[in-house]
Amino acid sequence: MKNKFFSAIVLVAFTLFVSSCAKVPQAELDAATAAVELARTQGAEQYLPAEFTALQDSLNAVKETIEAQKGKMFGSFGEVKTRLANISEQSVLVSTLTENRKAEVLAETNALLSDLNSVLATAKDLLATAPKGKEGAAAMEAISAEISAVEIVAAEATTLIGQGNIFEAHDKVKTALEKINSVKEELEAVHAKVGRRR
Amino acid sequence: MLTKRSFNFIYLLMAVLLLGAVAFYILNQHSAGEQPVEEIRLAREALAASREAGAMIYASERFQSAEELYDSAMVIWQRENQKWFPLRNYSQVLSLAESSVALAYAAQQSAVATSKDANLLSAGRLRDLDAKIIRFEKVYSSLPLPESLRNDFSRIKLVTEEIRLARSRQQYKRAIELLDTVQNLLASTETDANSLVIRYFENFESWELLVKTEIEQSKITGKALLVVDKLSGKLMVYKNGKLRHSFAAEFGSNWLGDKLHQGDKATPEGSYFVTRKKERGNTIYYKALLIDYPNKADLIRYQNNVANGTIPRGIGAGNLIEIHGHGGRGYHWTDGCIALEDRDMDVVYAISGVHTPVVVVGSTVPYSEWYQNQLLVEQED
Repeated sequence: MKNKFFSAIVLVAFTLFVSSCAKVPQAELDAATAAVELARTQGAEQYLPAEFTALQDSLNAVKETIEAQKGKMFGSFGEVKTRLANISEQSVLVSTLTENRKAEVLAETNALLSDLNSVLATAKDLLATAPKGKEGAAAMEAISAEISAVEIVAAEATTLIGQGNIFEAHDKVKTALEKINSVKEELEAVHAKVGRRR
Repeated sequence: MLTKRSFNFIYLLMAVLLLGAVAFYILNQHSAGEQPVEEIRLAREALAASREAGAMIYASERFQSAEELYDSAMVIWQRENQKWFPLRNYSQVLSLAESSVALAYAAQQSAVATSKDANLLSAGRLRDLDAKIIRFEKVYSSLPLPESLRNDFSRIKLVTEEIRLARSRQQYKRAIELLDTVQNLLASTETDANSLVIRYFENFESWELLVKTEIEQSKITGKALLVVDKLSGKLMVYKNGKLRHSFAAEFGSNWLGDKLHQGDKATPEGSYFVTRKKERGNTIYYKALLIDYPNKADLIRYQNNVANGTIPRGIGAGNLIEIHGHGGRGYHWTDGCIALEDRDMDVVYAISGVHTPVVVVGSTVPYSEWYQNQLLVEQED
Protein backbone atom coordinates (compact mmCIF):
# COMPACT_ATOMS: atom_id res chain seq x y z
CA MET A 1 0.00 0.00 0.00
CA LYS A 2 2.74 2.44 0.97
CA ASN A 3 4.74 1.43 -2.11
CA LYS A 4 1.74 2.20 -4.34
CA PHE A 5 1.27 5.55 -2.63
CA PHE A 6 4.98 6.29 -3.02
CA SER A 7 4.89 5.32 -6.70
CA ALA A 8 1.86 7.55 -7.28
CA ILE A 9 3.64 10.56 -5.72
CA VAL A 10 6.75 9.97 -7.82
CA LEU A 11 4.60 9.63 -10.95
CA VAL A 12 2.76 12.89 -10.24
CA ALA A 13 6.01 14.70 -9.50
CA PHE A 14 7.56 13.34 -12.70
CA THR A 15 4.54 14.36 -14.76
CA LEU A 16 4.63 17.87 -13.30
CA PHE A 17 8.33 18.12 -14.08
CA VAL A 18 7.92 17.01 -17.68
CA SER A 19 4.93 19.22 -18.38
CA SER A 20 6.72 22.31 -17.07
CA CYS A 21 9.32 21.87 -19.82
CA ALA A 22 6.91 22.48 -22.80
CA LYS A 23 8.97 23.31 -25.90
CA VAL A 24 8.76 26.42 -28.05
CA PRO A 25 7.28 25.50 -31.45
CA GLN A 26 10.52 26.48 -33.14
CA ALA A 27 9.83 24.73 -36.44
CA GLU A 28 6.47 26.46 -36.78
CA LEU A 29 8.03 29.81 -35.79
CA ASP A 30 10.81 29.42 -38.35
CA ALA A 31 8.30 28.46 -41.02
CA ALA A 32 6.07 31.47 -40.30
CA THR A 33 9.05 33.85 -40.22
CA ALA A 34 10.34 32.49 -43.52
CA ALA A 35 6.87 32.75 -45.09
CA VAL A 36 6.50 36.40 -44.07
CA GLU A 37 10.02 37.17 -45.32
CA LEU A 38 9.21 35.53 -48.63
CA ALA A 39 6.13 37.71 -48.99
CA ARG A 40 8.30 40.75 -48.28
CA THR A 41 10.95 39.86 -50.86
CA GLN A 42 8.22 39.29 -53.44
CA GLY A 43 7.15 42.90 -52.94
CA ALA A 44 4.13 42.55 -50.66
CA GLU A 45 5.24 45.68 -48.80
CA GLN A 46 4.87 47.68 -52.00
CA TYR A 47 1.93 45.96 -53.71
CA LEU A 48 -0.23 44.98 -50.74
CA PRO A 49 1.06 47.23 -47.94
CA ALA A 50 -1.95 46.90 -45.61
CA GLU A 51 -2.00 43.09 -45.84
CA PHE A 52 1.75 42.81 -45.33
CA THR A 53 1.71 45.14 -42.33
CA ALA A 54 -1.04 43.00 -40.76
CA LEU A 55 1.06 39.85 -41.34
CA GLN A 56 4.17 41.40 -39.81
CA ASP A 57 2.17 42.64 -36.86
CA SER A 58 0.61 39.21 -36.27
CA LEU A 59 4.04 37.57 -36.32
CA ASN A 60 5.39 40.07 -33.81
CA ALA A 61 2.39 39.48 -31.56
CA VAL A 62 3.01 35.71 -31.66
CA LYS A 63 6.70 36.21 -30.81
CA GLU A 64 5.63 38.26 -27.80
CA THR A 65 3.24 35.50 -26.72
CA ILE A 66 6.05 32.95 -27.08
CA GLU A 67 8.34 34.97 -24.83
CA ALA A 68 5.54 35.46 -22.32
CA GLN A 69 4.96 31.69 -22.23
CA LYS A 70 8.68 30.92 -22.04
CA GLY A 71 8.84 32.98 -18.91
CA LYS A 72 6.31 30.73 -17.17
CA MET A 73 6.93 27.43 -15.41
CA PHE A 74 4.05 25.75 -17.21
CA GLY A 75 4.16 27.54 -20.50
CA SER A 76 1.63 26.50 -23.09
CA PHE A 77 2.22 26.81 -26.82
CA GLY A 78 -0.86 25.12 -28.18
CA GLU A 79 -2.56 28.39 -29.17
CA VAL A 80 0.78 29.74 -30.45
CA LYS A 81 1.16 26.80 -32.82
CA THR A 82 -2.31 27.46 -34.24
CA ARG A 83 -1.56 31.15 -34.72
CA LEU A 84 1.78 30.42 -36.40
CA ALA A 85 0.09 28.00 -38.75
CA ASN A 86 -2.46 30.72 -39.62
CA ILE A 87 0.31 33.21 -40.27
CA SER A 88 2.12 30.79 -42.57
CA GLU A 89 -1.12 30.20 -44.45
CA GLN A 90 -1.88 33.91 -44.70
CA SER A 91 1.65 34.62 -45.88
CA VAL A 92 1.27 32.16 -48.72
CA LEU A 93 -2.00 33.84 -49.67
CA VAL A 94 -0.43 37.31 -49.51
CA SER A 95 2.51 36.09 -51.62
CA THR A 96 0.11 34.78 -54.24
CA LEU A 97 -1.95 37.97 -54.20
CA THR A 98 1.25 40.02 -54.48
CA GLU A 99 2.35 38.11 -57.55
CA ASN A 100 -1.12 38.59 -59.04
CA ARG A 101 -1.15 42.32 -58.26
CA LYS A 102 2.37 42.74 -59.60
CA ALA A 103 1.40 41.01 -62.83
CA GLU A 104 -1.74 43.14 -63.04
CA VAL A 105 0.10 46.44 -62.59
CA LEU A 106 2.87 45.35 -64.95
CA ALA A 107 0.36 44.28 -67.59
CA GLU A 108 -1.52 47.57 -67.26
CA THR A 109 1.71 49.58 -67.50
CA ASN A 110 2.94 47.61 -70.49
CA ALA A 111 -0.43 48.07 -72.18
CA LEU A 112 -0.27 51.82 -71.57
CA LEU A 113 3.32 51.90 -72.85
CA SER A 114 2.32 49.98 -75.95
CA ASP A 115 -0.52 52.47 -76.55
CA LEU A 116 1.91 55.32 -75.95
CA ASN A 117 4.42 54.01 -78.48
CA SER A 118 1.67 53.42 -81.00
CA VAL A 119 0.20 56.91 -80.64
CA LEU A 120 3.74 58.34 -80.67
CA ALA A 121 4.43 56.65 -84.01
CA THR A 122 1.14 57.96 -85.43
CA ALA A 123 1.89 61.47 -84.18
CA LYS A 124 5.35 61.40 -85.74
CA ASP A 125 3.86 60.26 -89.06
CA LEU A 126 1.24 62.99 -88.91
CA LEU A 127 3.94 65.54 -88.14
CA ALA A 128 6.13 64.34 -91.00
CA THR A 129 3.20 64.52 -93.43
CA ALA A 130 1.79 67.77 -92.03
CA PRO A 131 1.14 70.39 -94.70
CA LYS A 132 4.54 71.63 -95.86
CA GLY A 133 5.21 75.28 -96.33
CA LYS A 134 4.91 78.17 -94.10
CA GLU A 135 1.47 77.84 -92.57
CA GLY A 136 1.57 76.21 -89.15
CA ALA A 137 5.38 76.06 -89.07
CA ALA A 138 5.68 77.51 -85.59
CA ALA A 139 2.93 75.25 -84.26
CA MET A 140 4.70 72.24 -85.81
CA GLU A 141 7.90 73.24 -84.03
CA ALA A 142 6.10 73.31 -80.69
CA ILE A 143 4.47 69.95 -81.44
CA SER A 144 7.83 68.49 -82.42
CA ALA A 145 9.21 69.55 -79.01
CA GLU A 146 6.27 67.91 -77.24
CA ILE A 147 6.77 64.69 -79.18
CA SER A 148 10.46 64.69 -78.23
CA ALA A 149 9.56 65.14 -74.56
CA VAL A 150 7.11 62.22 -74.72
CA GLU A 151 9.73 60.02 -76.42
CA ILE A 152 12.16 60.69 -73.58
CA VAL A 153 9.49 59.80 -71.01
CA ALA A 154 8.67 56.57 -72.88
CA ALA A 155 12.34 55.57 -72.73
CA GLU A 156 12.54 56.44 -69.02
CA ALA A 157 9.42 54.39 -68.31
CA THR A 158 10.92 51.38 -70.10
CA THR A 159 14.04 51.67 -67.93
CA LEU A 160 11.93 51.95 -64.76
CA ILE A 161 9.99 48.80 -65.71
CA GLY A 162 13.28 46.98 -66.20
CA GLN A 163 14.35 48.11 -62.72
CA GLY A 164 11.06 46.84 -61.23
CA ASN A 165 9.87 50.36 -60.41
CA ILE A 166 6.45 49.70 -61.90
CA PHE A 167 4.33 52.29 -60.08
CA GLU A 168 6.58 55.20 -61.08
CA ALA A 169 6.66 53.92 -64.67
CA HIS A 170 2.87 53.67 -64.66
CA ASP A 171 2.42 57.32 -63.67
CA LYS A 172 4.96 58.57 -66.21
CA VAL A 173 3.36 56.59 -69.02
CA LYS A 174 -0.14 57.71 -68.04
CA THR A 175 0.69 61.43 -68.18
CA ALA A 176 2.72 61.02 -71.37
CA LEU A 177 -0.13 59.13 -73.06
CA GLU A 178 -2.59 61.92 -72.23
CA LYS A 179 -0.19 64.46 -73.73
CA ILE A 180 0.56 62.53 -76.93
CA ASN A 181 -3.15 61.86 -77.49
CA SER A 182 -3.84 65.60 -77.37
CA VAL A 183 -0.90 66.20 -79.75
CA LYS A 184 -2.27 63.57 -82.15
CA GLU A 185 -5.69 65.22 -82.08
CA GLU A 186 -4.10 68.57 -82.85
CA LEU A 187 -2.22 67.11 -85.83
CA GLU A 188 -5.32 65.33 -87.10
CA ALA A 189 -7.18 68.65 -86.96
CA VAL A 190 -4.40 70.28 -89.01
CA HIS A 191 -4.63 67.54 -91.64
CA ALA A 192 -8.43 67.72 -91.67
CA LYS A 193 -8.30 71.49 -92.16
CA VAL A 194 -6.07 71.10 -95.20
CA GLY A 195 -8.30 68.30 -96.50
CA ARG A 196 -11.37 70.57 -96.27
CA ARG A 197 -9.59 73.36 -98.16
CA ARG A 198 -8.88 70.97 -100.97
CA MET B 1 11.71 -4.70 2.76
CA LEU B 2 11.76 -0.99 3.79
CA THR B 3 11.84 -0.24 7.52
CA LYS B 4 9.67 2.35 9.24
CA ARG B 5 12.71 4.63 9.47
CA SER B 6 13.23 4.36 5.73
CA PHE B 7 9.63 5.25 5.04
CA ASN B 8 9.90 8.26 7.35
CA PHE B 9 12.97 9.40 5.40
CA ILE B 10 11.18 8.98 2.07
CA TYR B 11 8.12 10.87 3.32
CA LEU B 12 10.41 13.69 4.55
CA LEU B 13 12.21 13.78 1.20
CA MET B 14 8.92 13.87 -0.71
CA ALA B 15 7.66 16.66 1.55
CA VAL B 16 10.85 18.65 0.88
CA LEU B 17 10.53 18.01 -2.85
CA LEU B 18 6.87 19.06 -2.85
CA LEU B 19 7.60 22.17 -0.82
CA GLY B 20 10.48 22.93 -3.17
CA ALA B 21 8.26 22.44 -6.19
CA VAL B 22 5.60 24.71 -4.73
CA ALA B 23 8.22 27.34 -3.86
CA PHE B 24 9.70 27.01 -7.35
CA TYR B 25 6.24 27.43 -8.88
CA ILE B 26 5.40 30.50 -6.78
CA LEU B 27 8.73 32.17 -7.55
CA ASN B 28 8.37 31.36 -11.22
CA GLN B 29 4.86 32.78 -11.36
CA HIS B 30 6.13 35.92 -9.70
CA SER B 31 8.87 36.16 -12.28
CA ALA B 32 6.35 35.58 -15.12
CA GLY B 33 4.19 38.36 -13.70
CA GLU B 34 7.10 40.76 -14.05
CA GLN B 35 7.45 40.05 -17.75
CA PRO B 36 7.17 43.14 -19.99
CA VAL B 37 4.23 41.71 -21.96
CA GLU B 38 2.04 44.79 -21.75
CA GLU B 39 4.86 47.24 -22.44
CA ILE B 40 6.02 45.35 -25.52
CA ARG B 41 2.44 45.14 -26.79
CA LEU B 42 2.05 48.90 -26.35
CA ALA B 43 5.27 49.47 -28.28
CA ARG B 44 4.06 47.29 -31.14
CA GLU B 45 0.73 49.10 -31.26
CA ALA B 46 2.41 52.49 -31.14
CA LEU B 47 4.55 51.50 -34.12
CA ALA B 48 1.47 50.32 -36.00
CA ALA B 49 -0.29 53.63 -35.36
CA SER B 50 2.81 55.54 -36.39
CA ARG B 51 3.10 53.54 -39.60
CA GLU B 52 -0.58 54.19 -40.33
CA ALA B 53 0.06 57.93 -40.03
CA GLY B 54 2.77 57.68 -42.69
CA ALA B 55 5.75 57.90 -40.36
CA MET B 56 7.78 55.61 -42.67
CA ILE B 57 7.63 58.38 -45.27
CA TYR B 58 7.30 61.60 -43.32
CA ALA B 59 9.27 60.82 -40.12
CA SER B 60 11.39 57.96 -41.35
CA GLU B 61 14.40 58.45 -39.05
CA ARG B 62 12.35 58.60 -35.87
CA PHE B 63 10.18 55.69 -36.96
CA GLN B 64 13.22 53.57 -37.78
CA SER B 65 14.72 54.36 -34.38
CA ALA B 66 11.45 53.41 -32.66
CA GLU B 67 11.45 50.10 -34.56
CA GLU B 68 15.05 49.42 -33.57
CA LEU B 69 14.19 50.01 -29.92
CA TYR B 70 11.31 47.53 -30.19
CA ASP B 71 13.55 44.95 -31.87
CA SER B 72 16.23 45.42 -29.21
CA ALA B 73 13.62 45.00 -26.48
CA MET B 74 12.52 41.70 -28.03
CA VAL B 75 16.09 40.44 -28.32
CA ILE B 76 16.91 41.24 -24.72
CA TRP B 77 13.62 39.75 -23.55
CA GLN B 78 14.51 36.50 -25.35
CA ARG B 79 17.95 36.58 -23.77
CA GLU B 80 16.59 37.09 -20.26
CA ASN B 81 14.08 34.27 -20.69
CA GLN B 82 16.95 31.88 -21.39
CA LYS B 83 18.35 32.53 -17.94
CA TRP B 84 17.32 30.69 -14.76
CA PHE B 85 14.28 32.55 -13.52
CA PRO B 86 15.78 34.08 -10.34
CA LEU B 87 18.48 35.71 -12.45
CA ARG B 88 16.08 37.31 -14.95
CA ASN B 89 16.00 41.10 -15.08
CA TYR B 90 13.50 42.76 -17.44
CA SER B 91 14.28 46.35 -16.49
CA GLN B 92 16.22 47.00 -19.69
CA VAL B 93 13.43 45.48 -21.77
CA LEU B 94 10.89 47.73 -20.03
CA SER B 95 13.07 50.75 -20.60
CA LEU B 96 13.53 49.99 -24.31
CA ALA B 97 9.83 49.29 -24.79
CA GLU B 98 8.85 52.56 -23.12
CA SER B 99 11.37 54.47 -25.24
CA SER B 100 9.99 52.81 -28.36
CA VAL B 101 6.46 53.89 -27.46
CA ALA B 102 7.56 57.47 -26.85
CA LEU B 103 9.55 57.67 -30.09
CA ALA B 104 6.81 55.97 -32.14
CA TYR B 105 4.30 58.46 -30.81
CA ALA B 106 6.64 61.35 -31.61
CA ALA B 107 7.14 59.95 -35.12
CA GLN B 108 3.37 59.71 -35.54
CA GLN B 109 2.85 63.33 -34.48
CA SER B 110 5.69 64.46 -36.69
CA ALA B 111 4.33 62.49 -39.66
CA VAL B 112 0.86 63.99 -39.32
CA ALA B 113 2.29 67.51 -39.18
CA THR B 114 4.84 66.91 -41.95
CA SER B 115 2.27 65.28 -44.21
CA LYS B 116 -0.06 68.24 -43.76
CA ASP B 117 2.87 70.60 -44.39
CA ALA B 118 3.93 68.58 -47.44
CA ASN B 119 0.40 68.81 -48.81
CA LEU B 120 0.31 72.58 -48.34
CA LEU B 121 3.89 73.03 -49.50
CA SER B 122 3.45 70.99 -52.68
CA ALA B 123 0.14 72.76 -53.43
CA GLY B 124 1.78 76.16 -53.05
CA ARG B 125 4.82 75.22 -55.10
CA LEU B 126 2.64 73.73 -57.83
CA ARG B 127 0.64 76.97 -58.05
CA ASP B 128 3.94 78.85 -58.25
CA LEU B 129 5.19 76.46 -60.95
CA ASP B 130 2.01 76.87 -62.98
CA ALA B 131 2.40 80.66 -62.78
CA LYS B 132 6.04 80.44 -63.91
CA ILE B 133 5.10 78.19 -66.83
CA ILE B 134 2.45 80.69 -67.91
CA ARG B 135 4.99 83.49 -67.56
CA PHE B 136 7.56 81.62 -69.65
CA GLU B 137 4.98 80.97 -72.36
CA LYS B 138 3.92 84.63 -72.39
CA VAL B 139 7.44 86.01 -72.55
CA TYR B 140 9.35 83.47 -74.63
CA SER B 141 6.98 81.26 -76.64
CA SER B 142 6.85 83.76 -79.51
CA LEU B 143 10.66 83.80 -79.75
CA PRO B 144 12.57 81.46 -82.09
CA LEU B 145 14.12 79.47 -79.25
CA PRO B 146 16.69 76.71 -79.91
CA GLU B 147 15.24 73.19 -80.14
CA SER B 148 16.91 72.14 -76.86
CA LEU B 149 15.10 74.88 -74.91
CA ARG B 150 11.76 74.00 -76.53
CA ASN B 151 12.29 70.35 -75.65
CA ASP B 152 13.19 71.21 -72.06
CA PHE B 153 10.08 73.35 -71.71
CA SER B 154 7.87 70.57 -73.09
CA ARG B 155 9.42 68.17 -70.58
CA ILE B 156 8.72 70.63 -67.76
CA LYS B 157 5.03 70.72 -68.70
CA LEU B 158 4.90 66.92 -68.81
CA VAL B 159 6.51 66.50 -65.38
CA THR B 160 4.10 69.11 -64.00
CA GLU B 161 1.24 66.73 -64.89
CA GLU B 162 3.08 63.95 -63.04
CA ILE B 163 3.21 66.22 -59.99
CA ARG B 164 -0.54 66.79 -60.21
CA LEU B 165 -1.10 63.02 -60.41
CA ALA B 166 1.14 62.38 -57.37
CA ARG B 167 -0.77 64.99 -55.36
CA SER B 168 -4.13 63.50 -56.36
CA ARG B 169 -2.88 60.22 -54.80
CA GLN B 170 -1.66 62.07 -51.67
CA GLN B 171 1.93 61.16 -52.54
CA TYR B 172 3.14 64.53 -51.32
CA LYS B 173 6.75 63.55 -50.77
CA ARG B 174 7.03 62.33 -54.36
CA ALA B 175 5.32 65.50 -55.56
CA ILE B 176 7.94 67.58 -53.73
CA GLU B 177 10.79 65.52 -55.20
CA LEU B 178 9.41 66.09 -58.70
CA LEU B 179 8.91 69.78 -57.94
CA ASP B 180 12.58 70.10 -56.94
CA THR B 181 13.65 68.57 -60.27
CA VAL B 182 11.33 70.53 -62.51
CA GLN B 183 11.80 73.89 -60.79
CA ASN B 184 15.56 73.62 -61.27
CA LEU B 185 15.03 72.76 -64.94
CA LEU B 186 12.60 75.64 -65.43
CA ALA B 187 15.00 78.07 -63.77
CA SER B 188 17.86 77.07 -66.07
CA THR B 189 15.60 77.06 -69.16
CA GLU B 190 14.29 80.51 -68.30
CA THR B 191 17.83 81.77 -67.68
CA ASP B 192 18.98 80.49 -71.08
CA ALA B 193 15.98 81.98 -72.88
CA ASN B 194 16.46 85.28 -71.10
CA SER B 195 20.16 85.32 -71.99
CA LEU B 196 19.22 85.17 -75.69
CA VAL B 197 17.01 88.22 -75.29
CA ILE B 198 19.49 90.16 -73.14
CA ARG B 199 22.23 89.59 -75.74
CA TYR B 200 19.87 90.81 -78.45
CA PHE B 201 19.14 93.97 -76.45
CA GLU B 202 22.84 94.84 -76.39
CA ASN B 203 22.04 96.61 -79.69
CA PHE B 204 19.26 98.70 -78.17
CA GLU B 205 21.19 101.97 -78.00
CA SER B 206 21.91 101.90 -81.71
CA TRP B 207 18.30 100.96 -82.48
CA GLU B 208 16.98 103.79 -80.33
CA LEU B 209 19.28 106.31 -82.00
CA LEU B 210 18.36 105.15 -85.49
CA VAL B 211 14.62 105.36 -84.87
CA LYS B 212 14.91 108.74 -83.12
CA THR B 213 16.94 110.14 -86.00
CA GLU B 214 14.52 108.92 -88.66
CA ILE B 215 11.49 110.21 -86.78
CA GLU B 216 13.16 113.63 -86.53
CA GLN B 217 13.81 113.48 -90.27
CA SER B 218 10.17 112.57 -90.90
CA LYS B 219 9.19 115.62 -88.86
CA ILE B 220 11.44 117.83 -90.92
CA THR B 221 10.51 116.46 -94.34
CA GLY B 222 6.84 115.76 -93.57
CA LYS B 223 7.28 112.42 -95.31
CA ALA B 224 6.17 108.94 -94.30
CA LEU B 225 8.44 106.68 -92.31
CA LEU B 226 7.95 102.96 -91.71
CA VAL B 227 9.42 101.63 -88.45
CA VAL B 228 9.49 97.87 -87.86
CA ASP B 229 9.81 96.66 -84.22
CA LYS B 230 10.65 92.92 -84.39
CA LEU B 231 10.26 91.98 -80.73
CA SER B 232 6.88 93.67 -80.52
CA GLY B 233 5.89 92.26 -83.92
CA LYS B 234 4.77 95.65 -85.24
CA LEU B 235 5.12 97.90 -88.25
CA MET B 236 4.51 101.55 -87.32
CA VAL B 237 3.70 104.29 -89.79
CA TYR B 238 4.94 107.82 -89.02
CA LYS B 239 4.04 110.98 -90.88
CA ASN B 240 5.47 114.40 -90.01
CA GLY B 241 7.26 112.71 -87.15
CA LYS B 242 3.99 111.54 -85.59
CA LEU B 243 2.80 107.96 -85.19
CA ARG B 244 -0.24 107.41 -87.42
CA HIS B 245 -0.71 103.66 -87.53
CA SER B 246 0.56 100.53 -85.84
CA PHE B 247 0.00 97.13 -87.45
CA ALA B 248 0.82 93.55 -86.44
CA ALA B 249 3.69 92.23 -88.58
CA GLU B 250 5.17 88.80 -89.23
CA PHE B 251 8.82 88.05 -90.08
CA GLY B 252 11.15 85.23 -91.00
CA SER B 253 11.05 82.21 -88.69
CA ASN B 254 14.64 82.99 -87.54
CA TRP B 255 13.86 86.60 -86.84
CA LEU B 256 15.73 87.09 -83.53
CA GLY B 257 18.82 88.73 -84.98
CA ASP B 258 20.01 90.35 -88.16
CA LYS B 259 19.96 88.72 -91.58
CA LEU B 260 23.40 87.35 -92.47
CA HIS B 261 22.87 85.45 -95.72
CA GLN B 262 20.45 84.01 -98.19
CA GLY B 263 18.21 81.27 -96.83
CA ASP B 264 18.75 82.02 -93.13
CA LYS B 265 15.03 82.91 -92.68
CA ALA B 266 16.07 86.12 -90.89
CA THR B 267 14.54 89.57 -91.40
CA PRO B 268 17.26 92.19 -91.88
CA GLU B 269 17.80 95.07 -89.43
CA GLY B 270 18.94 98.55 -90.32
CA SER B 271 18.01 101.58 -92.36
CA TYR B 272 16.43 100.97 -95.80
CA PHE B 273 14.12 102.59 -98.26
CA VAL B 274 11.41 101.46 -100.65
CA THR B 275 12.73 100.80 -104.15
CA ARG B 276 9.59 99.57 -105.86
CA LYS B 277 5.85 99.25 -105.33
CA LYS B 278 4.21 96.05 -106.60
CA GLU B 279 0.62 94.99 -106.89
CA ARG B 280 -1.68 92.75 -108.92
CA GLY B 281 0.21 90.54 -111.25
CA ASN B 282 3.59 91.68 -109.94
CA THR B 283 3.41 89.96 -106.57
CA ILE B 284 1.82 86.83 -105.17
CA TYR B 285 1.36 88.57 -101.80
CA TYR B 286 -1.50 90.95 -102.67
CA LYS B 287 0.68 94.09 -102.58
CA ALA B 288 4.39 94.53 -101.87
CA LEU B 289 7.00 97.19 -101.19
CA LEU B 290 10.51 96.06 -102.18
CA ILE B 291 13.29 97.47 -100.00
CA ASP B 292 17.00 97.88 -100.75
CA TYR B 293 18.36 94.95 -98.79
CA PRO B 294 21.30 94.33 -98.89
CA ASN B 295 22.41 97.94 -98.37
CA LYS B 296 26.05 99.02 -98.08
CA ALA B 297 26.32 98.15 -94.38
CA ASP B 298 24.79 94.71 -95.05
CA LEU B 299 27.23 94.02 -97.87
CA ILE B 300 30.25 95.02 -95.80
CA ARG B 301 29.13 92.77 -92.96
CA TYR B 302 28.41 89.93 -95.40
CA GLN B 303 31.82 90.21 -97.04
CA ASN B 304 33.57 90.24 -93.67
CA ASN B 305 31.64 87.13 -92.62
CA VAL B 306 32.62 85.32 -95.80
CA ALA B 307 36.25 86.35 -95.30
CA ASN B 308 36.35 85.07 -91.71
CA GLY B 309 34.50 81.89 -92.57
CA THR B 310 31.28 82.67 -90.67
CA ILE B 311 29.43 82.31 -93.98
CA PRO B 312 30.63 79.61 -96.38
CA ARG B 313 31.59 80.74 -99.85
CA GLY B 314 28.87 80.19 -102.42
CA ILE B 315 26.04 81.49 -100.27
CA GLY B 316 24.79 84.93 -101.21
CA ALA B 317 23.71 87.78 -98.98
CA GLY B 318 20.09 87.34 -100.06
CA ASN B 319 17.73 89.85 -101.65
CA LEU B 320 14.08 90.55 -102.59
CA ILE B 321 13.14 91.52 -99.04
CA GLU B 322 9.70 93.12 -99.11
CA ILE B 323 6.92 94.44 -96.96
CA HIS B 324 3.92 92.53 -98.33
CA GLY B 325 0.39 91.24 -97.65
CA HIS B 326 -1.09 87.81 -96.83
CA GLY B 327 0.02 88.20 -93.21
CA GLY B 328 -2.22 87.74 -90.17
CA ARG B 329 -1.28 84.08 -89.64
CA GLY B 330 -0.32 84.65 -86.01
CA TYR B 331 3.28 83.47 -86.25
CA HIS B 332 6.53 84.21 -88.14
CA TRP B 333 6.60 82.37 -91.43
CA THR B 334 8.33 84.34 -94.16
CA ASP B 335 11.76 83.80 -95.66
CA GLY B 336 12.82 87.19 -94.24
CA CYS B 337 10.11 89.52 -95.52
CA ILE B 338 7.74 91.58 -93.40
CA ALA B 339 4.14 90.42 -93.81
CA LEU B 340 1.00 92.41 -92.97
CA GLU B 341 -2.68 91.62 -93.17
CA ASP B 342 -4.03 92.70 -96.56
CA ARG B 343 -6.20 95.49 -95.18
CA ASP B 344 -3.20 96.89 -93.23
CA MET B 345 -1.06 96.53 -96.36
CA ASP B 346 -3.59 98.72 -98.17
CA VAL B 347 -2.89 101.56 -95.71
CA VAL B 348 0.90 101.17 -95.78
CA TYR B 349 0.95 100.82 -99.57
CA ALA B 350 -1.15 103.98 -100.02
CA ILE B 351 0.96 106.09 -97.68
CA SER B 352 4.35 104.89 -99.02
CA GLY B 353 6.20 105.63 -102.17
CA VAL B 354 9.57 104.88 -103.73
CA HIS B 355 12.30 106.23 -101.37
CA THR B 356 10.03 106.01 -98.31
CA PRO B 357 12.47 105.20 -95.47
CA VAL B 358 12.07 101.87 -93.72
CA VAL B 359 13.82 101.30 -90.37
CA VAL B 360 13.95 97.76 -89.00
CA VAL B 361 15.12 97.34 -85.39
CA GLY B 362 14.97 94.67 -82.72
CA SER B 363 12.96 96.85 -80.36
CA THR B 364 11.83 100.45 -80.01
CA VAL B 365 11.39 100.04 -76.23
CA PRO B 366 14.01 99.03 -73.64
CA TYR B 367 14.20 95.45 -72.32
CA SER B 368 12.28 96.12 -69.08
CA GLU B 369 9.35 97.66 -70.97
CA TRP B 370 9.37 94.86 -73.54
CA TYR B 371 9.33 92.25 -70.77
CA GLN B 372 6.36 93.91 -69.01
CA ASN B 373 4.51 94.17 -72.32
CA GLN B 374 4.99 90.46 -72.89
CA LEU B 375 3.41 89.66 -69.52
CA LEU B 376 0.34 91.63 -70.53
CA VAL B 377 -0.12 89.60 -73.71
CA GLU B 378 -3.30 87.47 -73.61
CA GLN B 379 -2.51 83.78 -74.11
CA GLU B 380 -4.58 81.66 -76.49
CA ASP B 381 -6.26 78.59 -74.86
